[in-house]
Amino acid sequence: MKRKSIRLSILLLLLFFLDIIRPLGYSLHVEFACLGLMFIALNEKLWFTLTIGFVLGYLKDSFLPTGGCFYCLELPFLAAISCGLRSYFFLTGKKAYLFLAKSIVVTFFLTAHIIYNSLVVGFTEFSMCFSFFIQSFFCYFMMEALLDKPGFFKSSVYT
Amino acid sequence: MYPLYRIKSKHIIVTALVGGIFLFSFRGPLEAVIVMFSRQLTVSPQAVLSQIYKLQEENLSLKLQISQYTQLEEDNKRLQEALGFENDKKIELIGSEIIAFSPSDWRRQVMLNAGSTKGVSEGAFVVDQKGNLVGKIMEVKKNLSVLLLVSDPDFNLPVIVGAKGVGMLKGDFSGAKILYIDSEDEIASGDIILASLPGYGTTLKIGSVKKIQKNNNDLFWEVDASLFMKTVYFKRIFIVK
Repeated sequence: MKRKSIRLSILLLLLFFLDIIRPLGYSLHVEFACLGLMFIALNEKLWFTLTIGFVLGYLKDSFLPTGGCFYCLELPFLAAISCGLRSYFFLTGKKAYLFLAKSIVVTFFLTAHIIYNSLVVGFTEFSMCFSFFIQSFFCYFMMEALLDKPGFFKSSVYT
Repeated sequence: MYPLYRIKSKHIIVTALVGGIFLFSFRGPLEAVIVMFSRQLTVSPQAVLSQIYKLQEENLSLKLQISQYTQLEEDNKRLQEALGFENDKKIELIGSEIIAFSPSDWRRQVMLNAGSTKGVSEGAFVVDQKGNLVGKIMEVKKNLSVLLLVSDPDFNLPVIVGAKGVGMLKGDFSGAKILYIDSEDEIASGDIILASLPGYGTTLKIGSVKKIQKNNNDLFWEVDASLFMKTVYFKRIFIVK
């Protein structure tokens, strides 16, 4: 468990680094660190998700010159709700609906993130929000397919 | 095997529609990947690169000076005396590289590896290799500074549109909008958007008018602008001292 937590933390840091260097500039509307947090919220326990959400929020806020603690508040909150939704769907649903349940949680996370950020910035651009949603949704499931291997990051919450 | 004639046309239409929307959303990243790979093919040794950067800096400085002198010729005699005092200044540029982007997708801010030790000041304009305005410096530290790109929603700048129009440019993530252009001003799609470079008596290109519209009761035009700068294409940029 401890080893897995360290692995996940390193993964999150790498994803955050990817967000900062942005190899494709602003043409790819994806926040990789948020995808990583979603992955953790869908696979790990609540306390770990909350901790990672807070650390990630703090890192994001410290890199933005505008200051404030927008992400420190947002990310742990969204991660906790996603964790709760996951528990609800996975405990009550059937295994056949696993993908559907994950899709609902990811959709919730992304939609809430878009709304929150649009409110913080005070400006909404529909095309950008649409691109962000589609690209993040696709990238999340691609990332999950790469990471969710037995003995690597695969969690016991599904079994 | 599933026979082809069993596939209903509505399934094909839905699949094509979903695929179309999906690919449309990814056209930006695909373009960026192609540009990145084409850059890798033309990679040069570090010494040659630094020489190229130096020449680019010199070339751009000269280009801006030419633009400055051309504008001077066009000015009438009444303004020559007033401008003469300021236009003696030579445009000095500080070459800089992007070291980090803001981690949020709702901000268009980048960090540069030039700070107060190199003479960067807050509010300084930043241009790309072609002399187009990229943004302005919003925060300066000892060895780094934060650049607010033109496409950031917090970016505001008075601009000149076409021959007569004057308005306020505001970033909108992908491009920019121009606010408060009087509905009596004559502007057209494709008009160049310029910003005045304070203290030098010259202007910098920002972009061009993409779309213009106005409702019957509006006092101002609603103008959408497309920017000349492309964030994915530049790595080295120049700060106007």
